[in-house]
Amino acid sequence: MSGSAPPQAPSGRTALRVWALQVAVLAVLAWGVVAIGQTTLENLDRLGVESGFEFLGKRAGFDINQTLFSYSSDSPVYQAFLIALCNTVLLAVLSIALATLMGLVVALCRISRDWFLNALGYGFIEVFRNIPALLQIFFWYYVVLRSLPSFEQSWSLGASIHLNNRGLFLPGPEWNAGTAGWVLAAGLALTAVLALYLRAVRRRTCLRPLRGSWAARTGFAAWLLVAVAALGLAIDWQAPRLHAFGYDSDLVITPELGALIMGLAVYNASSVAEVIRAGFLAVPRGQWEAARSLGLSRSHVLRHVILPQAMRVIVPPLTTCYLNIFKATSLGAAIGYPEIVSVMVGTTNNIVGRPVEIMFLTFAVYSLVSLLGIGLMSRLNRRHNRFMAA
Amino acid sequence: MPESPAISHRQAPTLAGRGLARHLRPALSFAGFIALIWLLWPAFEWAVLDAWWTGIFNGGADALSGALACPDASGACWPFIAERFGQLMYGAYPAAERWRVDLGLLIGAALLVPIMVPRIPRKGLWIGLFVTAYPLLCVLLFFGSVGGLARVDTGAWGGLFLTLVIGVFAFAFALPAGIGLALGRESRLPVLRMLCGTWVELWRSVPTLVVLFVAVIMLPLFLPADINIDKLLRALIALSILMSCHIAEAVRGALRALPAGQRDAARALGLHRWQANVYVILPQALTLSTPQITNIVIGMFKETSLLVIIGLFDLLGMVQAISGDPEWHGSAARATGYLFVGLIYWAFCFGMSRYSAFLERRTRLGTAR
Repeated sequence: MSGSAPPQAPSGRTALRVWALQVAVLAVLAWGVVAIGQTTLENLDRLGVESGFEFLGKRAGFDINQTLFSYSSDSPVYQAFLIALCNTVLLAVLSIALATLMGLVVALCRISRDWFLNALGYGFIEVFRNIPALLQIFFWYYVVLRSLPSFEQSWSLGASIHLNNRGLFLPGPEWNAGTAGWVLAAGLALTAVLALYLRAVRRRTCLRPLRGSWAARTGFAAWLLVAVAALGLAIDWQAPRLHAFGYDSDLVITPELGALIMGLAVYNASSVAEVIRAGFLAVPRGQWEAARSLGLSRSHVLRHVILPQAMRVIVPPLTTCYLNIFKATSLGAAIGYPEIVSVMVGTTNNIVGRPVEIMFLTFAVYSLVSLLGIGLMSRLNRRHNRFMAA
Repeated sequence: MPESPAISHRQAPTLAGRGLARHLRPALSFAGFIALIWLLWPAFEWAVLDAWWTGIFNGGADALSGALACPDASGACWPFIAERFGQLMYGAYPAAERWRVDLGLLIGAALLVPIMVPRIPRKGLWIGLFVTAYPLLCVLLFFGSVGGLARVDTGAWGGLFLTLVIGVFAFAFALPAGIGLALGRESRLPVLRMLCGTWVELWRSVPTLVVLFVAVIMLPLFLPADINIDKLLRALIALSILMSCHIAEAVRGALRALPAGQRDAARALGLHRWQANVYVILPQALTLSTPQITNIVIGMFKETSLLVIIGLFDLLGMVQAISGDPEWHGSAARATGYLFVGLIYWAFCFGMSRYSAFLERRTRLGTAR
């Protein structure tokens, strides 16, 4: 399979040399680490920087302009980190969702036989993937969103939705007495649907593919009903309130968040589209012909023959795309969106001055997410391969 | 209409088909057309028809500037680009010394010709020159203070020039380092394999911006107090490390794709392991990974725009810096600046991606033969 991979263990004199080499490499590395560590300690000492993680429990002393749970400048530093992490995840999830949707539409355009749709898809991909993401974000933030009307002339949809240059103001959720019960009901319904789905997944084989069983479908519909009812009944939706200086609501998409979502989604939609397209093209056309000649309808061919094979090709690069979007959320630091890099490496480091510890934490967060993503992907892929082999 | 039992060859692989899809496709097509016109026409109107053009052809020097040239933001402000063209291209590089930049970049472009045209032999020599002698020449030429050239500090470097310099230097460092890391990851020493693997995966898992901050904040801490490296060099080190890790992955993929027989045959001919690597394995692996390496270069070229966040005036940073000038208040200077540098980035990246696609086609033909 591979040219240079798993080399045999050498023997005799060569083995000795190999060991000596490895010890030498380790020694050089250890020397380098110790030297750099010592210099760093000296430098920190000279600059009067303390070390340790106890700063996490101290008062943060700065405000954050988008908080998903309660936070004030009196809160401890670790809470600011959690807020920043939540903001990063929120931005990543929304960007990924929008990028996937746009990517899917563009990919369908590219696969289509219609020359105009095809050209449209090609144009979209080639324009937006060749312009840096940061430039696109700046464009959305400084040009598009700044040219929205001021709050006096907001574009409004009734009394509940307002769009102006301070953001998109949506009705904010307000918990009431019945909320907990409804959320519990929705959770139980979801668990039931998941259990049914997993049972169906376990039982499927290549000859008996996963079909939405009657029970699963009904369960899913019931859950959806419960969820919608919960959203409507359990939560009081508060329309944005108008003050002297603008609107106020608990659910606001700030211009920073909006610009980042649009910039990241449009930039990454082109790579998502290319990945999806490549996945579909990777399925030999004989598969279509064979499945059709067996009498399957077009939608059945797509769902049970083409999609499973295309997904195997699509999933690994799509995971890479998603991880790239997650990493690219750090661009929020450029326009002041409070995500991990701007809160940790920017604000916190400026205030408490613990560069080594803060960098360590930042690295830890991003590496963990990457590892998680890659682990999930390889698990999915292994399962898929086993299923295809069965 | 009854469904025809046989699927024609032409219809088979596409998603479009009968029934609903047959009516949906023209509708979608039409919607796409309307959306395109709806978006493109105002953009064209803004950038060309309603734009301010006065005095852009006399170099902007004695032309109207500021609010006189572009009284309002209803259209693009091209006099802004004309007047600030020098800054966008060279940053604060002294006007009298800009020929040095032109000369250096011209030499680079000339060197790229034998590297990029597949028919010109001795690729190793040309690439070697590009990653060793050329950067040295660039340092002498751009930085000066030797041979009668006035010294120009890196603080004055900016604009497209800075973007290109960062790109060239990062590549010059990253190519050899990346090859080394790839060989290390495929080495027979487990310790080396593990170390290289951890190093590559660690840097690849964090965002470029974090790597830049590591260089800006941490690097001065790692070095003795009397060594002071300037911000440009720090950013360069960060991008080089990152790029070398990406190149290492590309080269490793190519190394793994080579048939095992190549190494065995080379060894059977009596070549030492290193000779086999240098004369047999690497040339093939590098040819195989060239399209991917070109894509990495494109990615890095786009990533240089992040330098604005750490306070360097690259192409995008220059627009951010100069479009806030109160002289142009009320005009569409910023949007015009974005459009202009967007076109520059696009031209470079699209050109390189076409080249990469060309190489890929060529490689595929080569292996098919």
